[in-house]
Amino acid sequence: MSYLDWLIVGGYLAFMIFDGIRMTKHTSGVDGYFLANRSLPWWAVGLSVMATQLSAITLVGATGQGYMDGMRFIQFYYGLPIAMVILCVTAVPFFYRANVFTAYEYLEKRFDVRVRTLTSFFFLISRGLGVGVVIAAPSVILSIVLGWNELTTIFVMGLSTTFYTMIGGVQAVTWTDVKQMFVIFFGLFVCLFVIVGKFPEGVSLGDGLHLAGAVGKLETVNWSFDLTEKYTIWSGVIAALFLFLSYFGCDQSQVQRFLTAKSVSEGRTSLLMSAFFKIPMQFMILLIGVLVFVFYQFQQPPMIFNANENAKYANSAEYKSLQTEYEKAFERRKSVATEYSTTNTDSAKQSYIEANKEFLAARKQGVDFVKKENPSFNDVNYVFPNFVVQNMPIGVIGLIIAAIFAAAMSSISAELNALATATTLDFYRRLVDANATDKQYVFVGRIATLIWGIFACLVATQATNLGSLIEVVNKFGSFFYGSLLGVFVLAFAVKRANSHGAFFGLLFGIASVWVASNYTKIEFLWFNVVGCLVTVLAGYLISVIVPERKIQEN
Amino acid sequence: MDEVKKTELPDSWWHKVYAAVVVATILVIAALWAFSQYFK
Repeated sequence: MSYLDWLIVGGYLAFMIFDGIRMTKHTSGVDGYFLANRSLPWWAVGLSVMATQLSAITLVGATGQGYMDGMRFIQFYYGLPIAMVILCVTAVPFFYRANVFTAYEYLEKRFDVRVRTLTSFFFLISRGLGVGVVIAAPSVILSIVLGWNELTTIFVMGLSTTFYTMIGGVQAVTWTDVKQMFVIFFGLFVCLFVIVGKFPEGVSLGDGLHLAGAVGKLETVNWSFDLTEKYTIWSGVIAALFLFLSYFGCDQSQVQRFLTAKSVSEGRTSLLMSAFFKIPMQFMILLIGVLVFVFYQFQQPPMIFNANENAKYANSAEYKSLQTEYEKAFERRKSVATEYSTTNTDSAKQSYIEANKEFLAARKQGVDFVKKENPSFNDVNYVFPNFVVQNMPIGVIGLIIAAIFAAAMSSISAELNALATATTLDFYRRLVDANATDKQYVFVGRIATLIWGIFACLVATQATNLGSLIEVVNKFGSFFYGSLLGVFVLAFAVKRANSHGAFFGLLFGIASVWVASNYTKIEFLWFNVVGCLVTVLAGYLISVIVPERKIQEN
Repeated sequence: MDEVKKTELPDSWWHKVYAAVVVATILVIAALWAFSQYFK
């Protein structure tokens, strides 16, 4: 990296930390530190909702998926707008008018303290693990770009975000999120234009998209109703709908965002921002990955994008011979890709499709070679950072790295803040000391932020080799999210549901997801549907069979 | 803060917004499908 790139990244980091820690106004009370006194405007909350979801994983993992798999991942987001509408009708007014700090506090009002504690506990586990993965993604990039040790990178990244979140609370989280979203959008747009500008002379954006389309990289709708297929329109509209309902409606890291809005209307508007902008934004991110694929039709990509793994085998004779075959396959593909993009004939298209298959087979041999030594090796997350460092001009590298940092920090801060809120209010205030002062609760909140920050860093050290990072986070979520959603469905929509039903229904739901994941081949997105339906069904039946004794308030 | 809360928008307005979100989503998916078909 050049001095200019360093300056951009360093300047961004210093400003964000400074901006976060100066947001300490009105944070001495519980309302101020955890909910910003419910005073934030809809556009700031809406950007914060989007920033929290758009982590560095989205940039690194999704661009990598765009390169490897094409646009099919976009189907995952088709259910999101519908989920937002459902939440605007149900969760936003329910939570806001109940005047709660956490989503799980509402469950105590509706059921009892057991249900609140259990759901909050599951949130802490799944989100605590999830934030670790969120920290791992930018650390992977830094370890490649700066040559830092991955472990050091994880702790530098995680603890600096922990620091300003701990000091400034939810206000720091929201207002830094707003600025980080601008950095992200600016970085993405610049990246898009620079990639297209790097296409060879005579190859337009349209030609590039025809090349990508010819090998199936632009598939945005898959009508197959195969439950073992990962991304189809049905898994997006049905299965991911359950995931989004749960993520935005039952996960404290998102619920806390709209609870800081000035009113129910502003809370609703903030969620609907995502409904309108998420699919186009995700399209743009995946398109960057696809355009990187097009760029590499004319410029040779590394056989292995992970520079460390590549260097490890560079002197092996077998690896060198695979590399030679790979280079030949690339040259063949380059030649027919050039022909197809200039002539646009059917025969050139067929030759290109065949050459691409040969190229992929040659690359697979290289990947299999590395996998023999390192079975958990996965190259997806290294595609985009490697491309940026090798091919972007001075200044743009720094900008994109800053954008990736922004994406990571916006998610990490919101999630740590939510973990601290649930720990402090659902556990410390509810079960340990209900009579402490506001100052003491804020102090506990800050300590909890610090502890969760350290825990997340430790998880991150194990998360960098778990396959595509974006899928790892979703898989973590899918184990708990469906069942958590089921409990909220019982609370909002099933009048006969009681605390026994909700409590044991949740346990049945999680057990059913465990069974589904171990004994069936259905894809992880469907776990949300299984967990939710089993929880609701079991919860309802238990509520009918075991009538509730008189609820003891407090 | 209370003054702001009095400005809650009526349900009828929200119903129109929700309908707009659903229609916009269908149009976006249709446009993406058309995009992939065009470049196939």
